[in-house]
Formats: sequence, C-alpha cells, structure tokens
Amino acid sequence: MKPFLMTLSFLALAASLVSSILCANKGLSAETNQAVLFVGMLVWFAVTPFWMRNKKT
Amino acid sequence: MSENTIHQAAAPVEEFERERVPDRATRGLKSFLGMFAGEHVAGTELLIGPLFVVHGVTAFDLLVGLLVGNLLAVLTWTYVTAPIAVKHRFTLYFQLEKIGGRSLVKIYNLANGVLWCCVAAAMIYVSATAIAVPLHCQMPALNDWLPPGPGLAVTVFLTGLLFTYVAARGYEALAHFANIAAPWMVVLFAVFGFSALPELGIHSLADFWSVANQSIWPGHAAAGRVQFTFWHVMFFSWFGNMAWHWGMGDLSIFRYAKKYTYGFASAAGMFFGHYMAWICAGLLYAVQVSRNGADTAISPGALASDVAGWAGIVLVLVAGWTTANPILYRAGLAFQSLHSKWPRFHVTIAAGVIASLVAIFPGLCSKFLEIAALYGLALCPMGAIIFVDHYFMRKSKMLDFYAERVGLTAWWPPIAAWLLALVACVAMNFGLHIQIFFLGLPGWIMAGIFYYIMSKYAQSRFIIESFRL
Repeated sequence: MKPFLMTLSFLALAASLVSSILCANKGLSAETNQAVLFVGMLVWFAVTPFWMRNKKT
Repeated sequence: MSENTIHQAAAPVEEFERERVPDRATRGLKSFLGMFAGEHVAGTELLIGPLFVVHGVTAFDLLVGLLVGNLLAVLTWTYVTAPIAVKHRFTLYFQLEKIGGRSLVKIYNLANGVLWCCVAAAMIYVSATAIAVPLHCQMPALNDWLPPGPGLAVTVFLTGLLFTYVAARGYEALAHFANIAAPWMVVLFAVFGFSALPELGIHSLADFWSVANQSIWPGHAAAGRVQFTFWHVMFFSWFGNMAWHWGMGDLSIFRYAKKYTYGFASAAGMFFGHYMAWICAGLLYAVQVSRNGADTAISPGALASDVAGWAGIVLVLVAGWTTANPILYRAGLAFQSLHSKWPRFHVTIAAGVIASLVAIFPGLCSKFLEIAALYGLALCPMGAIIFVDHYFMRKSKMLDFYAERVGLTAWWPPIAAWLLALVACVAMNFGLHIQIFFLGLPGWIMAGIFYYIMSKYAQSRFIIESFRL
C-alpha cells in the first residue's frame, strides 16, 4: 500500500511541475494550469500523511 | 534567510542538551539534505525576492551574486560551523554556558527572543496576505508604514493570534504538517517560476536574458531604497543566515553529523531554497508590475494567487505558518529561560501577541532585508567567541570553556566582547555610513579579537587574584 501511496503523491508533484512547464510553453492555459495545481495540492495533502512518518523533533 | 531561523525548531534539540551527542545518535547525510532543503523554503522568501527587485538589482548581479553568496554560505557552514560541532557535539547554548556562564546564555536568549518576535511578525504578515486575498482587503503601498485600513490590520492580528495559540500549545502537530508540506512547497516555488514566464513574454531560453534585463530586474531602485549592486546581493545571500553559520546557531544541528563534510548538505537549502525561491519570487513580482506599473506593493498572497490560483494562496499561508510556528515557540522558550517559574504557555502567548502587533505594520516587512541583516549581525559575535575559544585559547596558553572550569555563572570577556563589537558596528554604520549588509563580517572579526584580548587580560588577572585569596 505504501509504495502505491508514495507513487500517487509524487505523481501529484510531477503533474504540478509538468503543468507549469506546459503553461510556460503555451501548451496549457493559465486557468487549466491553476486547476491542475489545485488538484495536485489536494492529492498531495490527502495522500502524503498516510506514508510520511512523523519525524521526531 | 529567513526562514533561516526555523533551524532549531526542526533540529532534534530536546535530546542531549547538556551532554555530548554519542556516536550511536549521529545521523546520515540524507537527513541533513532533507532538513536543509525543507527549511529554507519559507514564507519570507516571498518578501526577499521582490525586495531585490525593489532595490534595483540587475539580472547579472542577482543571478551571479546569489550564486557566489550562497556558495560562500555553504563553505562557511562546512569549514567554520560543522568542524566545531563535530568536535564537541554540544548545542550552541551549552557551549556558550561553558565559555561565559549561564548569564551569557540568558542575555543571548533575550536578544534572540526579541529578534525572533520580529522575524515571526514578518511570517505572520506573509500568511495574512494570503488570507487577505479572498477577503479583498486593501493592501499597503510599497513604502507605507501603517496598514491601509482596519481590514488588513484585523486580518493580520487575528492570524497572529491563531499562530500564537497553536505555538503555545506546542508545535509537534504542526511540525509534522511542515514535514509533509516541505516537498510540495519546494516544487511549488519552481511552479511559480515556470507559470510566471509566459506572462512576462518568455517562451524560450533565448527570450529569458533580454526580458530579465528589461522587465524583471531592470536595475532601477524604487524611491527611497538603497541601490543594490552585485556586492549587496552576494553579502546578503552569504549573511542572510549568518546567525546560523558564522554565529554557530547550527552547532545544534551539526553535532549530529558523522563528519564535518556534511556541512555541504546546506547546499540543498541554499540552492533549491534560497537561489531558486528568491528568483521565482522576483518573477512573481515582475508579473504584478507588468500588469500594473503603479502596483508596486509587496503582497505575497496576491503575487502567488495571480500565477498559481488557490494553490498559490495555500502555499503562502502554509509557508508562513509552518515557519512562524516554531519561531514563536522558540521565542517563548527563550524568554522563559530568563525566569524558570514563568509558564511557557503564557510566555509564548505574550511573545506571540507582541509579534502579532508588530506584524500589523507593513513597513516592517518592506524593510525585511535590513531586519534579516540585523538579526545576523546581532547574534554572530557569539560565533566568533566560540571560534576563538575553540582554536586559539589552548594555543595561547589560556583556558577554554573558562566559566565551566573556574565555576563561574558570569564571565565578563565574552559578554563585553559581544557588546563592544555591536557598539563598533553601530559606530561604523552611523559614523562611516557602512550599510548594515556589509557589517556582519567586520563585527564577527572584531568580536573575536576583543574576546581574545580581554581573555588574555582577564584570565591572568583572575588567576592572580584567586591565588592571593
């Protein structure tokens, strides 16, 4: 389960990055880019807490 | 920088506070890379990047100045801070106590607590600008010292109170959230940069240099601002974290390193964090100015919202909160150390209320570069004292860790050297008109020399007097 969740988290980050690069190349509109960033953010914060352990501080 | 101040909060400072870190507790390079990469992407990066633009840097000065300055910061961590940390494996506080007694630590904590309140205020303001976007609060102009209306003032103050309450309750839960958010924040800063490019008319690498020189960093300082040069950028990026490397604040972190060469891990923070984040934040500001030349206000929430929408707003809120929280917590601990009977909860609330009140004034945030430089300047002399104590005391036939060896609670040479170095820096600032950005290294060197000379005098005199007694 953990590898699947990690993959999902990093896909969310990758999607955010790729979306903004496409936007820079005019391959994606600014609105679509912002929508992808929003969804990427939701996925990251919904999934990551389930696999990232709490580091003792 | 900035940010820079959350180091201790993320460091495992609760363990081995008054003893040497044992070899079994040392950590690998990976944990240092992650720690630095995460901690140097903070809310204040969104102030620093635009402030460079406001101070009129050119594209070359910024890109090369940041490169050199951040490289020097990495080398300082590696060759000044980490070797001493790995040799003794003590916290900064324990080492200061051994050198100057508990009184020295108390004075240091007082100064630290006051400065932390100012840095926390900037973080609170940054986060509040994110909340202000959906609330449509009127934002201040670039050089305004007072808030433009009650809407922003109330938003900032309530944001500060919320942060303060969470910090007073202890920062464990939010620290875990900060760990989760860190990789996303690093990526989103890069996203800011890419998303800003088309609005600036950059569609290929070939476009970048001409647009960078003409539109992003045109090299004209705003009215009332010091014109920045390559040297300003280089020294700021080198000394932005001065309290942590020259000032030895990161002894608390590197005491866990297996080797001093782990100091190179700071490159992750300096280049993924500062270098990239400051440039990308500058790009956001350029987008705002390109849309409306009259809109020169630095409002991180609005800047991020313009290019990244809600994800940008959340980033600004999270970046400010996750760094303000440990700073407020540490400010509370610093003030509490002055009087152990004061409850930490109440002291943290008091520190947070002060920080929240300070945050209401946007003029403080528009002067954040000066505040960051002052923070480093005020605390770095302690690093010089530790450096001299470590390398020169025994070679000069003097005692290192003097207060501990002789059993003193207050040993005056380090305290006097610190204060004298600061007075000399103030004199250089007002008398010779040397800007605060350039005073860090002279201040550090003077503190070291003063400490050496005073120790030479005081140790011999103290020993003679003790003998007569």
